Amino acid sequence: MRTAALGTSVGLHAGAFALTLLTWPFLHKPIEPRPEPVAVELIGPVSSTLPSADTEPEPTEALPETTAALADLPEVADIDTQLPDVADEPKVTEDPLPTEVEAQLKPLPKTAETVEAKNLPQPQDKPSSGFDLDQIASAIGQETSPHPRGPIGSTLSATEIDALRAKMQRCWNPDCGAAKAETFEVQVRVYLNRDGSLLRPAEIVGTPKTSAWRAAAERAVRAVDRCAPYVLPQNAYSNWKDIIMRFDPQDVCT
Amino acid sequence: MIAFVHRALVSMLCVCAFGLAAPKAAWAALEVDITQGVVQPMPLAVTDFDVGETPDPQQIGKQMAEVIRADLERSGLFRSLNPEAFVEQSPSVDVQPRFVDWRAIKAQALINGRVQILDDNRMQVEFRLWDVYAGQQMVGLQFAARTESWRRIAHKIADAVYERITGESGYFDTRIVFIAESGGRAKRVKRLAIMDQDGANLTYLTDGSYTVLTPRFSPTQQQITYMSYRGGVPRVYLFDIETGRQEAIQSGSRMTFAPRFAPDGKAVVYSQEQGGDSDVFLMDLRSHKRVQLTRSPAIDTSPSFSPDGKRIVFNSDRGGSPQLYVMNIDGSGVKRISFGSGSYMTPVWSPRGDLIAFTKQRAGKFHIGVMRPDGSGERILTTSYLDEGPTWAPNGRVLMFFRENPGGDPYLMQVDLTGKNLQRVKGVGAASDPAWSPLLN
Repeated sequence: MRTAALGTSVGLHAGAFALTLLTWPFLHKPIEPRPEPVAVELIGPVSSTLPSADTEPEPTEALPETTAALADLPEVADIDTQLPDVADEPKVTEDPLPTEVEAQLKPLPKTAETVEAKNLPQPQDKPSSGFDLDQIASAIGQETSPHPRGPIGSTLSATEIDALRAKMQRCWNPDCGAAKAETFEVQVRVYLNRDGSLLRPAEIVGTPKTSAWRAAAERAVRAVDRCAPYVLPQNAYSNWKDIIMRFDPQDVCT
Repeated sequence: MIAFVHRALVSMLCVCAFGLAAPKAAWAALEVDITQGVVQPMPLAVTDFDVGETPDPQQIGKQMAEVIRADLERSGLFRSLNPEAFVEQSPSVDVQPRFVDWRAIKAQALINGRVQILDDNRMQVEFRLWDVYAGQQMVGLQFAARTESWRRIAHKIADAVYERITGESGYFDTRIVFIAESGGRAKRVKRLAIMDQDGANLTYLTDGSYTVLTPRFSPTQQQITYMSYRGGVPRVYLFDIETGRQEAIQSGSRMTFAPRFAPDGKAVVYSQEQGGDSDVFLMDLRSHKRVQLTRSPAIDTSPSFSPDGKRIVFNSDRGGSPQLYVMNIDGSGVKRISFGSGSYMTPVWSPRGDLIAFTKQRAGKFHIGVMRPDGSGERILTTSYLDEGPTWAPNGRVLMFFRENPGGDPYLMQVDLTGKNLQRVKGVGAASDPAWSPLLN
């Protein structure tokens, strides 16, 4: 009797154990779908040598594969040579910045000009073979300054420099969220034509050491581009044809 | 005589020096110092990606552009121009753009691209970022993936653009783990959930049968650590995202909470209840060896590693009110860094190391703020009835946290370091305790 009971007990326990083993995985809710990120493969850089939009597009070439694409990458200079000349492009007319600054500049030089006007030679005093800015300017299709002319070789007054500074400050958009943004002082050398347009792209003074510094330098160059053209007194052209602009984010970014 | 010759030589030297210096002075460039600027989002144009003649029933080309625009705009650093103003809607990537058209709408940067959908459910995407003023390509890349992963490609493109223009890494190809909340206040269900940083692809990782709190991502992206009430006692668990396996990092009846991974993912720092107060512990995940880092009769909690793994910031009320302290990895050199009025909690060291974010409670309001690791330069970024639990984007420029209004559900918010770009995280309902992943591979 006892043996039979023991046998029944062992049988039932074994059955229960077997059932548990069999059903164990199903007692638990299945794990939610695994949200593994799907694979994305970076093939590599695309070639940066392109025809201009104004020219007939070349037949599409097969995209270069990773190593080939790297090998085919042209120097930056190659891009420049293929770009249409900025001077050939229609001028952007919507930029309100030059007008604002022009308006600021107009009333500014009065005092200095009044003083300087005393020393100005009268028109009849000008040697016939002399240097006439208006004639030269009109001959090359440029307008002279709207301001009364001072002596050639004048320098910008402090007020005019302040106005130029104010203009640049409206065009400069520093990235103050960058790490140590306040330390990224950038100097940009700007060469200007007589009409205030850029003679050539502004040059970053020094070699960017980090990508963040390069980004800061590019923002300074962008400010120079955005602010162009520069309406400045023609008589002081020799003073402003070559400008070093120093962008110091210390005050803006702290 | 000698004196005369000497004087003459000195005079000649002076003249020479003057003569050399004079021309230089005559050619010196005008110097202008610019010390003020206008900090504002950069206007850029993202055109719908060109799909050519390929059938695109999902409008992937258009949707990718929308994801890129949304990513960049959400950063606060960019303003996406309205595509209706574009002269060309999908300019070809095979020719240089007509920069004058883009300057006319005041775009400073242009992004265009092409999607090629291949036969085997794969796609190839290329894009170019152009500096509109300089008329130059800034970066151009191509990607290949299955078509269903077009969102990830879009995020990667947004990251590449962000990186090229800011010089710092992006944070768009990332995910967020958080606590999804549902049900009434009396019977709250808190589930561990994961989604893309823009709120897409929401997935629940736990079923809500037990409460989960304070999830944190491992730097390896495969693991999450969190505190769970699973099994009754609140304990710190590890969760493997790939397999769904979870394990308590420590057995016994002690309550453990507030875990965070070390920067290498090989250790976890957390708090353990010690007879009414709590101390900070460090556990090696391989050997399971534990080290007690603090031994104060106070509540020491919320430890967070510096990115170099050498220091830990934590929260302690040992001085009378919850304040922030920094110590070395071995528990030495404890130094208080917060001294402002109010309480400071949940410190998190920035991934770039320069700042510590925190929750601050003062005069009945909560704030998210940042300070330097030495306690200087405290800046309050947000203010509300309840703002709590900041987590850093992997590039250390954006913080996500959760906000709660009186009687309302919590929801996720994000703010950048300037404090000006504050916005609600879209695509997710009631949610708390967000944690940002590293950049995905």
